[in-house]
Amino acid sequence: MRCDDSLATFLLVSRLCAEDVRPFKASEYWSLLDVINADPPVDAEQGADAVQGRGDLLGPGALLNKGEDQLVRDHGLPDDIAGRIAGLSERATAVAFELERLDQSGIRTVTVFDERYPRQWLDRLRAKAPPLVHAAGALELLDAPGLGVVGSRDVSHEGGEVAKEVARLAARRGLPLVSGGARGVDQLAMDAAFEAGGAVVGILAESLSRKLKRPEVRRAVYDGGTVMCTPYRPDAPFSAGNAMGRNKLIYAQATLTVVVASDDGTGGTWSGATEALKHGYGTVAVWRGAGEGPGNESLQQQGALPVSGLEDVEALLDSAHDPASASSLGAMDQLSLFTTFRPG
Amino acid sequence: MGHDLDSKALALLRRLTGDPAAAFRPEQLEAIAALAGERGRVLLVQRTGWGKSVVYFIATRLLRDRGLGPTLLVSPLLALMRNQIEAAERLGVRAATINSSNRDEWAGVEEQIDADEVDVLLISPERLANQQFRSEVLPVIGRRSGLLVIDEAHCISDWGHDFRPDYRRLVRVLGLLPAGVPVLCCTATANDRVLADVTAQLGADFVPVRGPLARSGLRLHALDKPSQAERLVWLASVIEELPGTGIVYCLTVADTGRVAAWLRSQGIDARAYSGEDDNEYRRAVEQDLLANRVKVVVATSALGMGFDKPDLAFVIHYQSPGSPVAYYQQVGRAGRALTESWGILLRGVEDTDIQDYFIGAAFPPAGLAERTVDLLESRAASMTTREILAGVNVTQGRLENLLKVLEVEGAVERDGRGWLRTLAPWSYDHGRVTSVTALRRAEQEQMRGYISTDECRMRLLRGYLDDDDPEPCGLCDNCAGQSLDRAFDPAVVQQAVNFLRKSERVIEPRRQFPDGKRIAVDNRLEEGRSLAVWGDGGWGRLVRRGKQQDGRFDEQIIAAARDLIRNRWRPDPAPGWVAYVPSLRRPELVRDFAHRLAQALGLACTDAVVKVSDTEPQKTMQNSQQQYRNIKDAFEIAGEVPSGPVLLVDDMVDSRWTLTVVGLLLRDAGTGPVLPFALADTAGRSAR
Repeated sequence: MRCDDSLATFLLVSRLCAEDVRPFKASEYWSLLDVINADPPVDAEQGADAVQGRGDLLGPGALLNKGEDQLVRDHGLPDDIAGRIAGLSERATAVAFELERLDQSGIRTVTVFDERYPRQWLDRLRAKAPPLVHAAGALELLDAPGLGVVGSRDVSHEGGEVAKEVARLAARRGLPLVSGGARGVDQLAMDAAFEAGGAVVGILAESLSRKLKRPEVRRAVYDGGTVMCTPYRPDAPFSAGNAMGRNKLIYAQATLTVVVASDDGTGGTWSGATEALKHGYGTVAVWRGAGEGPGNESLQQQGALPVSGLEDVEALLDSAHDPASASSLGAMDQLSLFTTFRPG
Repeated sequence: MGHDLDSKALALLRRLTGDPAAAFRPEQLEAIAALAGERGRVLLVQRTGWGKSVVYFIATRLLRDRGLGPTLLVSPLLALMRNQIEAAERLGVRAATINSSNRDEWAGVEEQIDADEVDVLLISPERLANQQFRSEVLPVIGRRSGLLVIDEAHCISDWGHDFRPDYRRLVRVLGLLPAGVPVLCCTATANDRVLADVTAQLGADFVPVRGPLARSGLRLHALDKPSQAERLVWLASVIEELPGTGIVYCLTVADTGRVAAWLRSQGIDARAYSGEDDNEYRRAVEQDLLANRVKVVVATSALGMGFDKPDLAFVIHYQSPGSPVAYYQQVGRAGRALTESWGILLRGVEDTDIQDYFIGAAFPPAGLAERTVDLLESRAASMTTREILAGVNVTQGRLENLLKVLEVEGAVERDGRGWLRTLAPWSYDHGRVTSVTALRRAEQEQMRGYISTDECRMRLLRGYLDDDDPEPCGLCDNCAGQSLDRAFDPAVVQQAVNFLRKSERVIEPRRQFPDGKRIAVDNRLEEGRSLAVWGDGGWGRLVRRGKQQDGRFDEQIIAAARDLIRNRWRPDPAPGWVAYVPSLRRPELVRDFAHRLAQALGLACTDAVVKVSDTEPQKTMQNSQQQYRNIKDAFEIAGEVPSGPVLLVDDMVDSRWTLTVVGLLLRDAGTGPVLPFALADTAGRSAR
């Protein structure tokens, strides 16, 4: 049985079911929670009860089972937002059946109100943290520190070897390998981690369902020590926007992320790394040595930490701040931080 | 607000019933208010015929008027709801059904739902497992959530006897449904334990609305009648005397056919009814019984849930059900609107065996479930049932049941035409199996107590159902001091014995190899016969004695086989000689029988078929692929064989693979058509 906050989150943001109304984007979702907690309810008595039950803050569950007018009245929401909430809530039955179907096939849906949600994402991404993630496999890895490896799809032989070496290092240190599951660096690193008996966290931008159909991926999931997840629909096709949105999750997930090879000034690896450096989504290291890409030097200039041997990676890991262990924030704690992000 | 709703609801009730003075039962109004007024969750426990449909149709109308989406009604008994649906139309409630038989109408219904022209969509729980329904229809109906109705909600509980795996899916869906979506669960079940389990699974949000289970005028009797022949004679004699129409319940499909045939031979209008009959036939029999156009329907428990005939005069059990709940549900169908009705339980010698079989078959064995999941996991890709059968020794029927259970448990999922291990962890639930099996054993014991008691049967039965009633009923055989037992003319009993002994079965020729390839028409067996059912009341028991005790089949059996072949079967073409299926373990048993039978038929018997390698007993092989593989190279033909039609004799027939394989060899060696004959059919019992 899930709490209403979790179910309401799903109703508000999921694109799984046919919708007549536009679901909330992550940023809209967080600012919605901010709004309903900023304006005191008109009905003071009822509001006080609700707040008491929730440790001072209202979750999205408070928005369920209310008509448009009531949403405007109780929460001071603008008409169009109230209309969207009421419209999206009507999908409850379709959503429940769809969630059950996914659950049954082993694809769990984890929202910020559920235990396994990666706390690092909230810490590091704040209002850009996706409110939910679909995941199959060892869910406990979502909440654990890891070592990220990213790089271009068309990687040189030497670059591939570097990716594999770093992946084996992760396995030796008992750290899950965090990667994107794409062709090239991602895949080579994941395969190397599997072979070395290490754990793997795959954060996908597209087609989780299709990836999970592959026998070698299924076996890795059956064996334990692997989780495959996506913040998008499990059957989402490739899109550049989703790929960018996903990149920040890898940086936010991992204690340290090594960029093996990047183009210069262009491509997903470059954009993801520069974005992570600019916003501080995670600790970014860049490979400097045989197999590096044309953009690696520029990334170092922009602040990525240079590594030219496994010992450099180890040294960074030893000194790294572990995002998962330091974080104890729940969604509600996080919410209280967001007051500074209030729009307008 | 509350008053407003009450008066609207009352106006609707009067429109629905066409009675301007109609009034609600208090619980009906309570339930409607909780659903339509508060959008809450209600568990309605009321006897059949109480008027549950009034609640959900009126609640639907009220909720629709307030702008909610259509009601989704899940029921295993859609075919029985036609009358209620017609009544609902008086409220302007438009109903539509989606089921396996109207697939070509789905698109039209979807359009109607899309255009908001459907107020209630009725589906069977099995629909929820259908991929097309889930991907195409559910998203449309669920986009605007309305009332969700789960009928026969006791099917959620595997403590009860009507457990349906698909209902477990519904329980999970309810757990994912936020407050504000009204839900109504209905059941007529009587038992506190089942009710407690249902309540626990549904969660604390459900408001229970429960009524009493009154049952007056029912006369309960019980008789210990071990012999099938005596039971048949008793039945014919008593049913003739009982006024009105009724049901005779049997535990197996085979018994329903046999008992109905016997009653007809005694001049009583009787119809057999089981889950193996097609829907059209079943509906016709139900209608005939409802209209009192047939004296008695001999049925398995397939004639059950939702069958509502207020003037049913008697319910007789030819064999004893395994539990008081099952018994009460069935006997409780008698005389709802009569001042006097009869509920008579007979106990036979075979009851315990059959009950034990059902108890054992209720859960897939742990090893089997685990082997199947392991096999799918090691493949990590979709497998057809045929591929699974090659790797797991289980019958196709049991595999299909097992996969269904595993699907609902989340261990496997359908993938196109095949099955896939899901990505969810799974382990066999030993605890649940152990506790449910222990419960079944205790219930079996209670039924023995019910038959042997000399106290009030109604009070005892109700006590078992946690419905304590301190007053003796005054009507049952013990209270009234009357017994329906009677003595019979031995000649009439012998007539029943002879009837039972004519219960031969047809051996259908196999047409395909296990891999699906056709067996050429010229190489197939002809249609054959088995004399009896293994261990059964006719010849079955004497056959068993011959095989298990005497090591030789009795002379009476030779005579019976000859009589069957010569006078009733009369195979065409007639066999010109006899061959038999040899055994290495017991070389004499069948050889001796075949030679004696040939002599009785005036035919020659050859030892042409020889067994060249020892095999596992065929009965331990559970499916075609395993059975075929076990014996396909075990036999050879030695020397020349005659060219004409041949009677191929074996003692037991189960999968027919041995007879089929030997038949192929004989045809290859140049014989004519092969006519299979066996003494007993050991094929598994069928329940519903």
